[in-house]
Amino acid sequence: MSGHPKILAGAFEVLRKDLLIEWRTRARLNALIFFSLATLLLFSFALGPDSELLRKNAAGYYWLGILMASVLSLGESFRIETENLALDGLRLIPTDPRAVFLGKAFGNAVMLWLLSLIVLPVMVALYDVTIREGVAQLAGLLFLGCLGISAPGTVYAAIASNARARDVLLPLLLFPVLLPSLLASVKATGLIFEGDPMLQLRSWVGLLASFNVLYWGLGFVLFPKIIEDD
Amino acid sequence: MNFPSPILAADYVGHVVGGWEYVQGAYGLTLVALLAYGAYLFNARKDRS
Amino acid sequence: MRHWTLTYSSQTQALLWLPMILLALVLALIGVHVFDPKARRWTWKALAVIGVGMAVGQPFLALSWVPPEKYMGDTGRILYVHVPQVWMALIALTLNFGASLAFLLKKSWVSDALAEASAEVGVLFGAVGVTLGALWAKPTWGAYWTWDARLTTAAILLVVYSGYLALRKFIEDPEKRATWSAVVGIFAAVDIPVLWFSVKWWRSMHQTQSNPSTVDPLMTAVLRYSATAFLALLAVFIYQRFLVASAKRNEEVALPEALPAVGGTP
Repeated sequence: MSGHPKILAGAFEVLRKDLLIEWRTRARLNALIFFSLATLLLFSFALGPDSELLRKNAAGYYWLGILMASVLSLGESFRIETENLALDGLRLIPTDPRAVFLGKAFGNAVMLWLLSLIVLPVMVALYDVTIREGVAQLAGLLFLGCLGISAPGTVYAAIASNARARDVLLPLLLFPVLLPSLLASVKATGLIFEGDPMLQLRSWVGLLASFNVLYWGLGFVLFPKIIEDD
Repeated sequence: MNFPSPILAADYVGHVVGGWEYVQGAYGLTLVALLAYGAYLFNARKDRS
Repeated sequence: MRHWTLTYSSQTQALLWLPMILLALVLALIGVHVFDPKARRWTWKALAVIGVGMAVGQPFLALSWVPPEKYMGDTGRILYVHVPQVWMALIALTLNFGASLAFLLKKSWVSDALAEASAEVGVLFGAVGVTLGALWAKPTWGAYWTWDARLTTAAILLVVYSGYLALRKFIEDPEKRATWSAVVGIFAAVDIPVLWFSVKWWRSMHQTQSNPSTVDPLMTAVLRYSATAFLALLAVFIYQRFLVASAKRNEEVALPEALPAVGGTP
């Protein structure tokens, strides 16, 4: 098992590179924040002045906001690689392609998580939500949910970035596949907002964790097939 | 036991009770879909060969 | 309205075996088709004749021969097309998963063309099946659409595989298209059972409709007959679509070597 530290080190390098590129401009995160805020506002406008309805469905709208932003974020994370054939460069250096997957997917998850944490206070104010089960738990759940989006998201973004009409293709492929983990995230977040008298939260988080294991496993095995040179 | 007969089928399709219009719609849709796809395949095969 | 009884004449009893014999015949033909390449010239034609012939007879059996269903009345007759259509969609999409997996294990244009054919035919049968389900649900449940695990999963399954087909259309390079769509096909196939359970758990307080456990043998026979007819048609469709896909693939693979790049190299 001597390959494992090498993969992890490679993954860390990719992650560092991506976060560094992002940190230099912070353009992506800024754009994502405003985009998801606009989405959250749109939901409240579309539903009218019924604050009870907004509060009841806040978890769903919150995750939809994150999901919409995730498509932009994932697309962008591979656009930086198609510029100047950077992905070919990434392929040429002797890293395991699976390390590229781990680094990219984790980077995307961190990005989405930061976004969701920044948007959280605004969402709480906008939808008049009370967080009953503790902010730390919510933050952990959000990270787990973002991991669930980013693993299949990274695989599909790698495919879509090289195809025609990638902006259409990514959400078309990604949204239906993300549904199981999204359902679990929404349900668990709702329980954190509304309180959990029946102690169901554990099983939803467990479900979300198992989706994560499945998606990350599939991505880890299948990602090399996508970026390998033919 | 009634044997399959076109007259009987027409008799049934004739009176619209208990959701027969949905049954007609369902069988009509299936027929159209299968025929259309068959025709599409036939054309595609002709073009390729 | 006639209603069914559980006693049949020996003549009818014997007739109930007919669908099983036809099913065995169709399965045997498919088997010969798969394992004997030389027989493929005539096996698909035989399947087409059987499929079209049985499909012509199917409405007479399902709309007039079989008595109306006890609880649903005549509306229940939709099930004789709806259920087999969905079965065929599942068979085709399972085939797509197998072909995708086969391609990733060993690259071959055969499995790629088979994946393309089975996905398209599967989406066709699935779309018809889901629409028929909605048509049946309107008079039975009072609405075309309810949040039912089966319904929701089926609809999402269609969206997933429509995305798969769209992806195939958006990539020009045949080898990349084959590899990437195989990856997407595997993600999609693994997602379906997961999705089924998650949707079920999400609204677990809503009980799904339960079927009457005692099914009249006449109805089973008609259902099997319909499924056999559609199975023969499914096999013919997939094979013909496979031929179209392989021919196209051959053209694509032959082109770059045969012709210089249009407009010369920059």
